[in-house]
Amino acid sequence: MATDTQTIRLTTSDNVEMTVERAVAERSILIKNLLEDLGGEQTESIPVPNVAEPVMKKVIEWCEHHKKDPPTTQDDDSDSRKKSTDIDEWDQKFMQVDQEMLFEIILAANYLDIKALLDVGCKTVANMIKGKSPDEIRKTFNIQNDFTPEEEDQIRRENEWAEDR
Amino acid sequence: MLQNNGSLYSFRTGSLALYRRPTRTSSYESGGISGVYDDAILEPRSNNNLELTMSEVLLSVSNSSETTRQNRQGIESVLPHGSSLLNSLPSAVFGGILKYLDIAAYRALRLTSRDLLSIIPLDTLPKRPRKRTYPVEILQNIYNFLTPVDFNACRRTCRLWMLASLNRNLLVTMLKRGGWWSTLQSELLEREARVKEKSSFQESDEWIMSKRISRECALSHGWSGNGLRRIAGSKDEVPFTARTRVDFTNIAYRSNGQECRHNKSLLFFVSICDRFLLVVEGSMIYVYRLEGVNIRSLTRVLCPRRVLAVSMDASSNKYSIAALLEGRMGMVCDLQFPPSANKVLLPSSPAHAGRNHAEDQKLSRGRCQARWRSFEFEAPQNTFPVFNTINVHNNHQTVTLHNTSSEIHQGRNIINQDWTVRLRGTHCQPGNSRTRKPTVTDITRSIPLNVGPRRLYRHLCSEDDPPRSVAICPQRRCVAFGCSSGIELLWVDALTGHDLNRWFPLTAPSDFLYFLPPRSGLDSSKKLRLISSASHPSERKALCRRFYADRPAPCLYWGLYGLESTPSFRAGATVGFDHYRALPLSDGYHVLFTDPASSMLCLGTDAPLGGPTKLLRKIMFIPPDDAKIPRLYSVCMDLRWGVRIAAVYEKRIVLFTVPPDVFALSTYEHR
Repeated sequence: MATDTQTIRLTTSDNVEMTVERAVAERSILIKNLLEDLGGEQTESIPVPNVAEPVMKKVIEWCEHHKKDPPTTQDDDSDSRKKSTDIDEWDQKFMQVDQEMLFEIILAANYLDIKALLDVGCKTVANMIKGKSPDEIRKTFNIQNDFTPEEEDQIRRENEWAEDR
Repeated sequence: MLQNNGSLYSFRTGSLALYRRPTRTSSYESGGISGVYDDAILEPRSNNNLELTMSEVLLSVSNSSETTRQNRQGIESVLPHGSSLLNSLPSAVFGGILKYLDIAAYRALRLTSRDLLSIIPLDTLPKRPRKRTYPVEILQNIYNFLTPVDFNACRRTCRLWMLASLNRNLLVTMLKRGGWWSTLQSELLEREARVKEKSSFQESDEWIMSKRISRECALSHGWSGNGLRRIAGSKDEVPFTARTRVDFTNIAYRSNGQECRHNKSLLFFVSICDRFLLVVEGSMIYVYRLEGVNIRSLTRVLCPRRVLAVSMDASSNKYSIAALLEGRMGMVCDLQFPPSANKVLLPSSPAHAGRNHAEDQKLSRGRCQARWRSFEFEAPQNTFPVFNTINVHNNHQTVTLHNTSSEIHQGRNIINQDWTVRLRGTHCQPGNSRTRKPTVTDITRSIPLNVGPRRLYRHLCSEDDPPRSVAICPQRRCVAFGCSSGIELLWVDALTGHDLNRWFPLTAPSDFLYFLPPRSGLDSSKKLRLISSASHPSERKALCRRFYADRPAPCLYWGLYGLESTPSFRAGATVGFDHYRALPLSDGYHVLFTDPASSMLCLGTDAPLGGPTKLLRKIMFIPPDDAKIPRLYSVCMDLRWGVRIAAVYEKRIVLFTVPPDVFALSTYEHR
């Protein structure tokens, strides 16, 4: 017998309405708090103005896969957690997207307050940075070196072995 | 229809002459001269701009409009009438190919034929990846997952990323990860106190932390450059720069033109306190002071015989050198210049950097008078503390003697003055020295000859087993000479002024001998500690050449001098040795040594009281490539920023750093 699952509706920035299982949507602390504040049965669609439909689909896909994960606690925010950039296999595959999408997923996770997804995104970016020189990082992320000559000079000087004690 | 990253390609199946927007009109109106381009191959002329920006193309602005016009004419004149194989591809496949092209390739393809020009619209150029503008809080979250070296590389990419990195919590996290926090924390507190007193403008804490991370990363393995634009004429990015080059080769040739009597080789020693460089040429010891990037000549000490090894340690402001001389002789000489007079004696000047020894002599002519004036005699101090316990660590063996200062032991240890010559240097009379003008000889040898008091020791160790190492005690008037079967300790009794000596038989050769600094809170001032160790078997030939250079076939003498007599020291044998070349650190706890089993450089401590005498292995330093055996190594005196070790592997000098937090933990464990 199929169990009744409560659903809610979300409207993305490009005005697409999506129906999502409430438990899945509640991986987002933003939505969870919103639903709690509104109370009762939510019939109206919740606007998510900062997230477009393709990104929201990806976010919901991740939330569905992780809907049974225990909620993150404050203790998990320790330095030891941040040291590890290990990503589980499913998440690694999930994050095999182009940089544009990765960027959007991270922003969406930040906006929707999905800490675990944000961490996975940031770890993915961190893994892309690891072992690279500044020039290689610039190429990877298409970053323009916009330091002024004065700033470059200041940075160059910071490495001088001066007796600055 | 095919959509890719927001670009829209519309194809009319079969013909490939598809939907096209007006392109390259001078006014961006439909019609105009766009038709000209539709039928032209845009093959630019040489010496003209090959690429135009989109705005130039659309608006035909700036100086390029003339060029564009010329290009058009040129293109029109060379129109080929052919078709591309690409034309025959299905539109979906063709669109797929376009998807993977970068801008340059896309433009190039577009210009290859008229057909392609007509079907590949210019306004659907593949999009460059959008510039990432991660918010600062997300950048900081990403930084949190990085190691300090990656963090440092990453923040040097652009201003936003650099500014995002200057967050106190983040910097503290990185400093803790790097193991540099404990020292910086105390430094910041000290600085805070100073700022309160002076209330002057100071750098922010964040910038100081940032600089420290940057410096430590530059000295770490995996540093990938500072990411800045290369300055014209600058060399490759390396964290080290050569600041001073001093050529000592001309020391081997005397200023009067005579060549060195024995050989032209020089021996270099650095004092334990890191502040002095001792260069030995024959029977002369040149003493230089290391001042940042500069080397200042201080004095020279003439010895009665050829010098084999020198030891100096001014960590307790006792300026004496001990020398091991040829013919089983030893010498201790007090260098006569008070520390307060150092600046007057040798004024600092960056102009000193990079010159050679001869230039040094020329430059010093002008200062010669000042040097002579300031070079005054100072009465020997009689304030050295008395000691009553001697502890010697050698291989697996530890020897401890108590009550060495008692009258009974004094009688037994006293040196017969008949066979030990005690010499004092000629006192330089202050009055005379001030009025005396330097002669030509003085100028050519402008480094002043040291005239401080000296003690000469003869008949050290034994004829069969001559001394091969020397160590001077920084706190006391005490010197030790090591040979293959033991060490001979000589000291001046602080109360009676008698010369005393003591012989310690040991099981392992004493090729390297050091006094261990007292451990704070553990060792009393009445205790002397020494550590003696053998050299690595592969170093024996070099050592043999140094000490027995005047012998016709030095290697033959190893057996004679007892080196081969130790069973465990036979060729290549490593069994039975706990360590080679032990070098104590200034904290008194840690020792740097070569591990016989792995031949790797190790940092360790002696075992806790009551435990085995074997040194504990705490950190092993991975050598570069296959070079395993460290030929030489030296460690810094100031351990506040961790243990900096310079080790020589084959032809490479490698800098190792043990971060201060790691080092502090090791010290804490030992206590």
